Amino acid sequence: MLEVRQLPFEVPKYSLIGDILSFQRCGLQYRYYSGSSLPPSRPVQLWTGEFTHGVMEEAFLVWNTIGPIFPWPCNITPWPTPNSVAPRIPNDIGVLGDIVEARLLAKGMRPRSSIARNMAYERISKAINLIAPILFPLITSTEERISGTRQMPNLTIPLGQRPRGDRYELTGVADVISSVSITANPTNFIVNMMLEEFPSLNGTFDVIVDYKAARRPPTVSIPGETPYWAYQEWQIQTYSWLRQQQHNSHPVKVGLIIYTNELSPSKDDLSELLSEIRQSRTDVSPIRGSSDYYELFRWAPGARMPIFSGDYLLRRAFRFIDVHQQNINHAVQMIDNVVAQIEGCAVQENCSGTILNQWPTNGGSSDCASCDFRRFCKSTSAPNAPG
Amino acid sequence: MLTDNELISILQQAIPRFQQNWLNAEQENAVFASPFPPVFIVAGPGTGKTTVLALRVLKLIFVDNFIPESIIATTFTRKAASELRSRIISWGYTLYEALKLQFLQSGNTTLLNHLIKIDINKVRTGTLDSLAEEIISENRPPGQVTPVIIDELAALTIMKKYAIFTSSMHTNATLRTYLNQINPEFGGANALSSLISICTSFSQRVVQDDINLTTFSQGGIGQQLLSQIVLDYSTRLSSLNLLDYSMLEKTLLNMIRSNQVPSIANTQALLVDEFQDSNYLQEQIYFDLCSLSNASLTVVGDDDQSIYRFRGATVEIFADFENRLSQHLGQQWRPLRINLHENYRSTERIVNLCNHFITMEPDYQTARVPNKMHLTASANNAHNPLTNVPVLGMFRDNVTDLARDLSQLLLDIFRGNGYTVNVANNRTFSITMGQGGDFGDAVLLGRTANEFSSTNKARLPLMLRNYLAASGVGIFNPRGRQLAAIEEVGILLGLLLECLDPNGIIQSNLRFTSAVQQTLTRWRTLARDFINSNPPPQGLGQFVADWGNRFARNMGNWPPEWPLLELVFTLITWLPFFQSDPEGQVYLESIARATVAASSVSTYGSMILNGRGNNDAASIREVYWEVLVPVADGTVKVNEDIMPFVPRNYLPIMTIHQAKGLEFPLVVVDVGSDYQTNHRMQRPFRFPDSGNNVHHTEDAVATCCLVGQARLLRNVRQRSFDDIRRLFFVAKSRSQSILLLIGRNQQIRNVNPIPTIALGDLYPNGPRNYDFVDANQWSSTCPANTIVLI
Repeated sequence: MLEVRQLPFEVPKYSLIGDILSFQRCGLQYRYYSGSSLPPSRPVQLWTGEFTHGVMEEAFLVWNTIGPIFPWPCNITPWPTPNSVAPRIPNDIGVLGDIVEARLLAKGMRPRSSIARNMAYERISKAINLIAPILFPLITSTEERISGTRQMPNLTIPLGQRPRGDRYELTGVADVISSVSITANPTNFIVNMMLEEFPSLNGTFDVIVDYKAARRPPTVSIPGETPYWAYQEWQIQTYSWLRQQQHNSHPVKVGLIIYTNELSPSKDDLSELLSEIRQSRTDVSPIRGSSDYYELFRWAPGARMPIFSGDYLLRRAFRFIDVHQQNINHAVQMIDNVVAQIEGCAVQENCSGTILNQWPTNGGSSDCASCDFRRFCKSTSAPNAPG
Repeated sequence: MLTDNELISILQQAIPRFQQNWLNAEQENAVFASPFPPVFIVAGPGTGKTTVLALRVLKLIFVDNFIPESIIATTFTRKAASELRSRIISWGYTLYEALKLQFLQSGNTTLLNHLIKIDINKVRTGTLDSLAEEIISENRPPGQVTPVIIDELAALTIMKKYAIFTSSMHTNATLRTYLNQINPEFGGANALSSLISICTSFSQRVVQDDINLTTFSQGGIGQQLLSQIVLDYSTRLSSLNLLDYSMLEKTLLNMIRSNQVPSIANTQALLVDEFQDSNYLQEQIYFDLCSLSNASLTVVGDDDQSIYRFRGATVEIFADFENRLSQHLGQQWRPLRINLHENYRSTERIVNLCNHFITMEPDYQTARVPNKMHLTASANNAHNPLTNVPVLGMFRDNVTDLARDLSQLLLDIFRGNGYTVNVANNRTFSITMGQGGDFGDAVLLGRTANEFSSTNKARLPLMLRNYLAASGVGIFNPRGRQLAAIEEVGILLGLLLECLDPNGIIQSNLRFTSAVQQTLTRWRTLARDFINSNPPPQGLGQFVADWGNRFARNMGNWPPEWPLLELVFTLITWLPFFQSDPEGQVYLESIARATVAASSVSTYGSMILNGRGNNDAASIREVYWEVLVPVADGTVKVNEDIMPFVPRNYLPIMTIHQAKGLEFPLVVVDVGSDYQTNHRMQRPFRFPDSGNNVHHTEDAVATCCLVGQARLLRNVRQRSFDDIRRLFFVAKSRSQSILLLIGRNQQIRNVNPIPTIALGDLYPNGPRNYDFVDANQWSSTCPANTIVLI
């Protein structure tokens, strides 16, 4: 009797953003983009996300090395690129953007249009000039790669099959603020906001920082909407768990997500915000009677864009997350559940030899709108040109 | 933190497999050797080298107190790296948890405090390329752009566009003549795609072998032209901030040599797996990193399994490792050699055949690492008389009969009641599928997995595909056919043509080779027939017509630009093959990869423009040149590694190279299904008269690089024989239980058999060394080189 060939033993590696959040967005889409390495045809969100992270990292490196004072100029290299560009200083945001754009272009990623590119520069420019002066002095390490290993959760798989590994590896990348720098900067705006939200913070601890090239998601999702509010909190709590696994690391007590799109909201962002305020689905609204309140509520599509105060923009952009053990335990349990689903789907696919029916199609409407596989995902209607 | 014995004890307690099967003495020596001097482990197939490497990493951490982040373990493929990392993490964490419990219970806070500082995840594992990318990125100074690594397809595209076309090298007869001299096989550089491929490979060899181009170009006009191409290619890559894999490694070497790698300057241990497939550049990286950091070095490999010479691998480096290392770094680096020879994979008869095959050739013995040991069959069931099946042979007069009988045999085993071999003395061997078994427990290995011959005749894999398909069994063989020749790919790309250039007006103004032109025409025909079949979910004809007319039904105006890739993904709505079939996924990824590769070097970024005047047609012309022609002329290759695993109910067909590092319960090795006569065109694959393209190229550069002389110790024909022997040694040693050699009766007849190294023919002119007997003549006293015919 022949042996039965087992799957190669493997401790699968999952990235919190690239795998876990992608699968939560949509299982089938994750299978195609990550499993089969199919590149998205319009990597708009991918470009914006990587551009934002990349420029913020470059900005920190320059700030940390030569320490130019803010504000920094932003002279964007025109598009298409001319033969020569006027000389710029090293901390010009246009120069930093060129470095990141070149990297992304070589990977086949371009902005959707010159309008989208300009918008990205506008937002990153605001992020650097509004946020960096108060954030960078607090940062103790950037783009820190963190990883940990967990027991493989129980899987629902066909009889006789077994998981490919007994554990799985979880990875992420985050910026970190230490309590030492918080203590050293008592008048810092971020520190004050944090202490306002968590007055009992004390001792030695760390804060995890993550940028999102997105708007602040609604706190309550409606049917057909991906619950990013909860998913992003789990992500931060899980980063904290990962940091706990590293020796010499201090406990993480706070997570800070920075939604860079809030610094320069688009018309669509404003419409969504108004709707969320009316439905009580957002946690940061302008104070009734304030200039920000009137700017927002007097605005209508077609009118001039409102001018918000810096304080209001920062409050919309900053989301503080209370990190403690109970929340961490809950979040990693949720991540375990996602891993169990992914591994289960993979085993089912291996046994059946097909993909389509083995992976969940659970994307929210906004995820589906930009999905390359929406045409044959439980849809029987033929698409109209141009695609 | 622990002694060797304490580590052994806790491993045996905590990890079930070590409770029953602890390491053999050689493995234990390899794991527990002192960090210094270096350790040189010569490990035959199935001897547990991944286990040894993983445990050695844990020993360095838990016994020698090396910190995990200062340990680098590298291997040849991503799969092998993943397997090694998985073992380190799984066993490492089990060990960690057991120790933690022990220290907590004993109240040993000193050790506990030491233990909790250990982060197993921090061990660096990966292929050398992935590690190089990581190290270059993390040691980048501010303001410096991180280079982007390009794959083979992008390298070919840049070579064609910027190093060959711009200087019209593709029409240069002198260049072509020279390339044909050093590439005498397969039509040399006569086809454009071959010329591009040869120049790209050569460019990589220049970096890998550290060839002095000034010296090389003094050899003649052809050498000068080729050198200029190499320079143009590398200059263009630099200006685009791109690195191919060899330049990536070269960048790492330069950074190590100039001490610009603080993140690895304190490396405490470097472990290198599959060292036999390293090239000169990689060897220099390992040596110089050790020199910089004084790291403990462990090298593992097997010269008999070196099969990647065509990628620059230089087995001679491995064979002479002990001397080369001490010459480079000093006598204190002379390594301790350990041989792993107990095979835990295969039955005794398979092991014996492998031993016979690799030692029967006197001339080959001088090319091997000195004093190699025979493999010993040590698997649990290796000697069980019921399962120790003799090596089988299936030889037929023609390939049709062979495919029919082989498919029937496989169906008997995996869909029927099994197959019985009746040998002498009324003994039988019964071959049946295990409980839960399926076709994925078997594999067909060959020198090539092509389903068509170079003259477009059906080969065994295609016939097998058809026979098994009739029984509802699929084949996973994405490399079996040229991408352009696959019907579904033709339909998809034909639909693309019909959308972009419906009447072929743009196409008619472009000058393609006649072969490419024929392929494009065929694709259009396939697409039109497909449209006429009105496939579900219907509406394809309307969709394509609207695209052709740029008529945006229900959408207002036609967009000014549209990503080509989105059109591809939309078209697969009508092609379920690409949505769910494993081979379909591989082909779709190839097309998508070609599109992305084009976008990184093209003017329009793989966008289809509309309403932008002449740019509209230009954007489509770019699609022809950068995407469709590379698929049509075979430049775009498939990458089956994107499939996480082959589905269990498919029969995998692989090249022997693909099977490296794998094992299967039943292995079928094709040793000659193509060989009807002793045809000279087939001799290079089974009993060569000379060397192949790679051997000739090696000789052409031998005097221009330091490593060249090492290869000249054997002439091109000897190296060619050696490489074939190694290839089939790898193939035969993949099998756990059943090894079946298949071929043609013309190879095993008594009079004028077709010479075949894989069937035991010796350098330089024979004689035959295998015996072929009918099953009823075989008994357990038959020697190892006996093949039982079925």
